[in-house]
Amino acid sequence: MTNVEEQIEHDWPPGSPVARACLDIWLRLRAKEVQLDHYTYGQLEALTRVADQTCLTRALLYLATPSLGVLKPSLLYEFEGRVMELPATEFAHFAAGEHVIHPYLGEPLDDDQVFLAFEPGERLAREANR
Amino acid sequence: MVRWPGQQRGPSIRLSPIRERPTASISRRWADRDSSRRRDKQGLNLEHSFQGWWDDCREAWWTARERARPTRCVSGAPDISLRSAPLSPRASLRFFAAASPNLRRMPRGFYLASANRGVVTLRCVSASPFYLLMSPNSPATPAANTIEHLLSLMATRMSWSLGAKIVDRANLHVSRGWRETIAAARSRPPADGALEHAKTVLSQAFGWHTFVGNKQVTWYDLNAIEAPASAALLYWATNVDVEQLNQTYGVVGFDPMQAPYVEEQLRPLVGAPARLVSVARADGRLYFQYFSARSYSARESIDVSDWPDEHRARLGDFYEIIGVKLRSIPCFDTIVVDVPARRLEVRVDFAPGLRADPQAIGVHALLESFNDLMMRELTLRPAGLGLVNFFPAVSGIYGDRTAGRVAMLGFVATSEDTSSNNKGQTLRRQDQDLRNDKFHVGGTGAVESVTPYTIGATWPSPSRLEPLTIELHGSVRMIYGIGTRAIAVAIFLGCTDGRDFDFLAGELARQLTR
Repeated sequence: MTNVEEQIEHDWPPGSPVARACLDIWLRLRAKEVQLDHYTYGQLEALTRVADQTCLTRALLYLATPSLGVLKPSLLYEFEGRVMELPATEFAHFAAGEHVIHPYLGEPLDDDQVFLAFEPGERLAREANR
Repeated sequence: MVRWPGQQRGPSIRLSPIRERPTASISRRWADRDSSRRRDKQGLNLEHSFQGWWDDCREAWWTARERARPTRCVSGAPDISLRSAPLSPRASLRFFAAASPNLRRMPRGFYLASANRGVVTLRCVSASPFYLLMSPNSPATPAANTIEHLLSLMATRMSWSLGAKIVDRANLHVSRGWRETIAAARSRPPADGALEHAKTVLSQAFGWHTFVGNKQVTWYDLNAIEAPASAALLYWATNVDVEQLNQTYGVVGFDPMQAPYVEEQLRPLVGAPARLVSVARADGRLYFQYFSARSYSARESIDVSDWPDEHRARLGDFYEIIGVKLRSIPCFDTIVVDVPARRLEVRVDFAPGLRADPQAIGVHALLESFNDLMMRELTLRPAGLGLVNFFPAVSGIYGDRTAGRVAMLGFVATSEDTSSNNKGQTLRRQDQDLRNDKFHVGGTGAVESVTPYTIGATWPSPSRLEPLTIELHGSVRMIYGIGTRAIAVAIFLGCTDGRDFDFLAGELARQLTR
């Protein structure tokens, strides 16, 4: 059992669907021979049997906490047909429910214009390199 | 002659008629009956200005979310009446003060306002609507050359990512987006000594940006015109007295930092010919800078939650209501007589993310204006001859691994038994190179031929503020069309000073001569 699994079981009550989603995603990702540049929400959803979207969202945000470091959140936006990453500093505002700022126009982006993706975090990258 | 707000002396720009805009009968009658003589003399577009003023009133009305609104607009030349029955006279007058701030402090005697039983009448006693738009007393805009004015001008043309870095360099607070940053700067006391330093930094950055930032670039090879003519032009560009030129063409005293940026000020200028506002020489080149205003359309979601129920009910089938909003932007276009490179370079302002009315850009009119000047000076019309074709640079950049990172690509791939038209862009990170992208490498390895027709390449900037980008937009027609494969316009993005621009121009020229 790795530290990640212990920490998940420590942080969530036994039988919690969030913990189950976390473990599913962690174990399936860790087993991959090659990590992708980034994962979409849909790709991560396919790794777990937990169907509840709220649980899944909580699980992904938990896996993306810096202390755990399994995933690293990345915000994307579309501009003139191109999909680009928002500055990392914008995630704190996004997580706090605030608007994120369009890097070109300097105006708040609507929520539906912001996409969420996940890079492999440090912990996952380390495991993958073993 | 009209002076920019805050300008102390000297003529700056002569405004011309704007004929393309639709006219309302009310204003036409008003204009025809009362002020045709002044109109002829001054050549101003009264109709449009009044239409804009009326639009302002309506907009302010909705903004204020008053329960009542003007139900009728009647003409009784020379008066304009707006009927708003549910409002008291005082409230009506307050409405107008709020609706059109320019009206509040217009020159004395320009309008007389009266209200009676909810009908507000504005009596016109002068016929120059540009006093409304350009009045130095106008409270609608901050005084020119203030930090707020500079930041507002920057917001019309710079990306936020670049602007935020410049604002930070100026030791001003960088807030969340342009709006909050401008508001934060506005709240600083005017006597703040640090503001002078900030003003200098912002002015320099803005001044450079008007010459180099986000431009559509076209080159005309002077070697393509007859040798005596090109020699005469190059000699003239090297030796002409720039101050004398500025005086001859009445451009002394114009300061780009005092250009208007408020919609009400810009809209009447949209469609008017570009005006020569500066002639300058640097690095062996002669720069002619022109000012104009252009309208860009942007789609915006409309919040109908506070609309009356019956109106919302009609829109019940729609998930979202989208409006197309016109936004006018001050534009600075530049024509450069590049003596060392023996070419004319046309740099037209370009606003990523906004769709311009092609007619509003008026490149042809810009060249005509420059040619007219050349006719007067040298009896030459050089602009338009020797158009440089950038299409060969597409393959050049694609095949040259040292030429930046390719972030955008359009190409035709052909194999033994299949062919495809492909468009690719890097996703997420800007530091990737499509030439090394595994999908692209695998694909190109599996086909016999890859022929690119569109490319976007990015380099790190010498000034390290923004990555520099050249985009060459071709189409698949250029691969299959019979005749010349031509790209006349290169898009330069991210430049913040002459060094950045020269770098991109050098890269483009290098690819054309490979």
